[in-house]
Amino acid sequence: MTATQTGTTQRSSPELRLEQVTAGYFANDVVLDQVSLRVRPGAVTAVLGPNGSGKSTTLRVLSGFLAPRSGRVLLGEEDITALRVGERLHRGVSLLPQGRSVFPELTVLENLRLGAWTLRHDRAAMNGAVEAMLERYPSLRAFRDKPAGSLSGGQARLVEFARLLITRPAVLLIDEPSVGLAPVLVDEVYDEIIRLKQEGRTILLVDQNVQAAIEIADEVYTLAYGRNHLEGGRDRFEGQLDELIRGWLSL
Amino acid sequence: MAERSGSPVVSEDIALAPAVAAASVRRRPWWIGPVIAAAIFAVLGVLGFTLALGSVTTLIVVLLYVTIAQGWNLLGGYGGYLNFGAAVLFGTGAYTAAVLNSSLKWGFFATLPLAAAGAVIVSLVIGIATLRLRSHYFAIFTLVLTFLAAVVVRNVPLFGGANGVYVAVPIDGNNRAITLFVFVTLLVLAIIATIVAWAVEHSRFGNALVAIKEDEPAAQVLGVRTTSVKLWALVIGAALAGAAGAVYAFQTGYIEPNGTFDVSLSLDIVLLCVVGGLGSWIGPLIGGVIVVVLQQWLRVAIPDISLFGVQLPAEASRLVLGVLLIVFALFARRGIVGFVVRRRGRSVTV
Amino acid sequence: MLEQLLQAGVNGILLGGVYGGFAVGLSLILGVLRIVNIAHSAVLIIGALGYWQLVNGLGLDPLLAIVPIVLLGYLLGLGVQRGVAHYLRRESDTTVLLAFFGLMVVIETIAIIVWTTDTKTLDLHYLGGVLDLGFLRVPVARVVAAGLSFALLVALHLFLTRTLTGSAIRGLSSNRDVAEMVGIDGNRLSRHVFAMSIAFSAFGGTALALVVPFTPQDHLRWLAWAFLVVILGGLGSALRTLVAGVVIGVVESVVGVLLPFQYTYLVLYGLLAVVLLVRNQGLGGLKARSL
Repeated sequence: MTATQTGTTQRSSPELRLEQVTAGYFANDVVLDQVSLRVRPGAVTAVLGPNGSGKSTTLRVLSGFLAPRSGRVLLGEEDITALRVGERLHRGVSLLPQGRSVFPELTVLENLRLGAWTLRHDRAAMNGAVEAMLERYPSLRAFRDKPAGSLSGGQARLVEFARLLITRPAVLLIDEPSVGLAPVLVDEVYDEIIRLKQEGRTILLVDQNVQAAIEIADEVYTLAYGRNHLEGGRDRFEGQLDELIRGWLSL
Repeated sequence: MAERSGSPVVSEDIALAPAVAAASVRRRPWWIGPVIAAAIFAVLGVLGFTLALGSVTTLIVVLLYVTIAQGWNLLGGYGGYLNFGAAVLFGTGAYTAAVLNSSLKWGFFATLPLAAAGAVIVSLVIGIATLRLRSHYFAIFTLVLTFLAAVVVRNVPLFGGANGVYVAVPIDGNNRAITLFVFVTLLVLAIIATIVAWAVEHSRFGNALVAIKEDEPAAQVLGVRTTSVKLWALVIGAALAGAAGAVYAFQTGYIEPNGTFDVSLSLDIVLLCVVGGLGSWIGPLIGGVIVVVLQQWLRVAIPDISLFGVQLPAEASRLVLGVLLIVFALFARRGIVGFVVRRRGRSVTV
Repeated sequence: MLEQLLQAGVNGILLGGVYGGFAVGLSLILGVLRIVNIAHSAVLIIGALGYWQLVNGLGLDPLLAIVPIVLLGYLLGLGVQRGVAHYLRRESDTTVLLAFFGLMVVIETIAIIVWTTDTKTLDLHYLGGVLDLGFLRVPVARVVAAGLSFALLVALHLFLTRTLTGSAIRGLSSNRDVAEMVGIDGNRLSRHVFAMSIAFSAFGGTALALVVPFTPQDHLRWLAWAFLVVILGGLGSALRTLVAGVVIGVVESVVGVLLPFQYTYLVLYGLLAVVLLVRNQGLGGLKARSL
């Protein structure tokens, strides 16, 4: 994934916060229980935890796919709890979901253009955004007309990154970015995340790959049974990976 | 490390949708249902022997519908695969019996099992072709089949074409004797059908069907052989419908394609299962009584009603039934049985 | 014999265009919205009857009269979706199927009550008559109906593949969550696709009326045809629907020349059974339903 520097000037990115959020899917179940966390700009905040601890649900609440039963989602000073997914995208909150999320029957170019759907009223802006992504990830040009379903894992991931960034969002929510990728590509993915951080964005990373996540994270939260468990800077967790994981296995 | 939280945490991995094994926790004693059913049959039996012939014919329709519906309910109510072509299986039974009788002069008791077998064969053909698909296609396909069956019958001389087939009387005797004979036969058939439904509901086969309705992919993962379960349900339903069709053929003495392969019959069966209660063994019994009585009442009452000064045509009764179906489908999915018996389901996540 | 076959072939292509035209509504609603619109043929019938009423009853120009029917269909679709979406969204497939089955019965019965079961033949006005090309004879009305159907299907295809909204619709049908994620208003788009489907069905009714005499009770036969086209052509492509329609039309016409007329249905359904058995994987995938 070779990327060239593009002028992605960010105004200072806002902070994203969860405040005492309780959420669940069916009538009475509680998946998140009074969870709070702060995602700071210009940094990578990692959310870790065993399966079933509520990591993906956290992302769903942050992105707007799941409305919390109580608690708030704050973007900077603004309470965005009531905003739906599309509206949050307008505010600059963009999600890179787990697994393959391209539209397989559509071409890469169509996937990108749909990624810029919120810009559709200004065709010049939309075309510019698409072009900017092709500049940032030049290898996309080669398969822009191929159906996204025919791409390899790494190529699809590239398209997904491009689509994630096409609206120049300030806040990125990234869900398990390395799953299913060949090891050499995994490195490139994390390199790209570091680059995004250096561009000043606010980044939340949910990951199973604890080692890689801690390596690039500035701030780490762990969840257990849908509640806040541990939190702290990277240095607090480095070197304690084994203990951490062993602890999860005994939960 | 962290303390266990009080409430159980459900896996949020929605992609692995939970397989729901709904265990109904009945708050009533188990024998209430069977007692009610027995009472209904007893009442019907008595009425059959005491009412005038015209009313007995209505009772015959009730029993006919109950028989077919109990069979339909297995795949449709429990399994969730709606068969909009009940008339096809019914008609197959009717035609098998009719043709055997008119061409080979076979009697009632000889043709009955063969009619059921004929319907079973047809259902196997349909089932093998379509049950591997999801339920939507099965529904459309069976609906369309009704029209197709009528076309086939109309064009194959053996089946009498558009002229229909005449059937001899089932037994010797006067009108009353014949009617009572048919009535008793159907009573027995309906009772058998209800017992079969009861047995299915309380068996692993029934649980498998419900699992298929709740979440078919999960059921497959759990090892349920879904295609074979669905086929069996269809086949049992076909046997019942075919038998009912044979009785019908002997009762009316003359069958022809339009009346036999009529979507109205399919509608009636679907409606009475919905009204009575899908996925409940007593639903079709209750629904059958209610819907047939309603139909008869409509047939009598409608000609006397005028809306905005215009006489309502006979078809209006069908309109009412259609609206009833929509209303029940949207607002009272569990039917009358659902109102009465509240089922508490416990979700088990896989 | 060759002449007969040629005639049948041309007839088949024209008929096939019409089949594609009235099947595409079903293909849209099934493919994009995952709604099994069993009442599709009932809409066709109402479209045909309404059209007949305008042309025969009010004496309107048969070409112009198509427009209000299609527009009405679209508006009706918008209205119905708005009113019904709230319920359907939360319901299971079974409930939707049952409700639509009931709806089908209701619409058909209303059609019978209002228009009776008499066979209706459209008064073709200036579209009557036959194009006589020597070795070929084709009714003008059939050419018009087929031409309009072809044009509409091509237009739909271009819309779906060349415009951004079309891409959005295809994206929506592909993965609704991801579509919402990029900011597409799934509800609004669904509403318009639903309305489009009804409008296409209404158009299908007018095309049918131009080509054959009809009665309200025929609608099951048309559902059978539409279903056949949809199965053969697959979902999600206007062009494939068109091709499937033409194939069916040609097979029907040619078989009708070679075999006694009644066997055409059987042949076509045999074809369907074979296709179903072979292609079951392509159809079985539709489980998730969204409105």
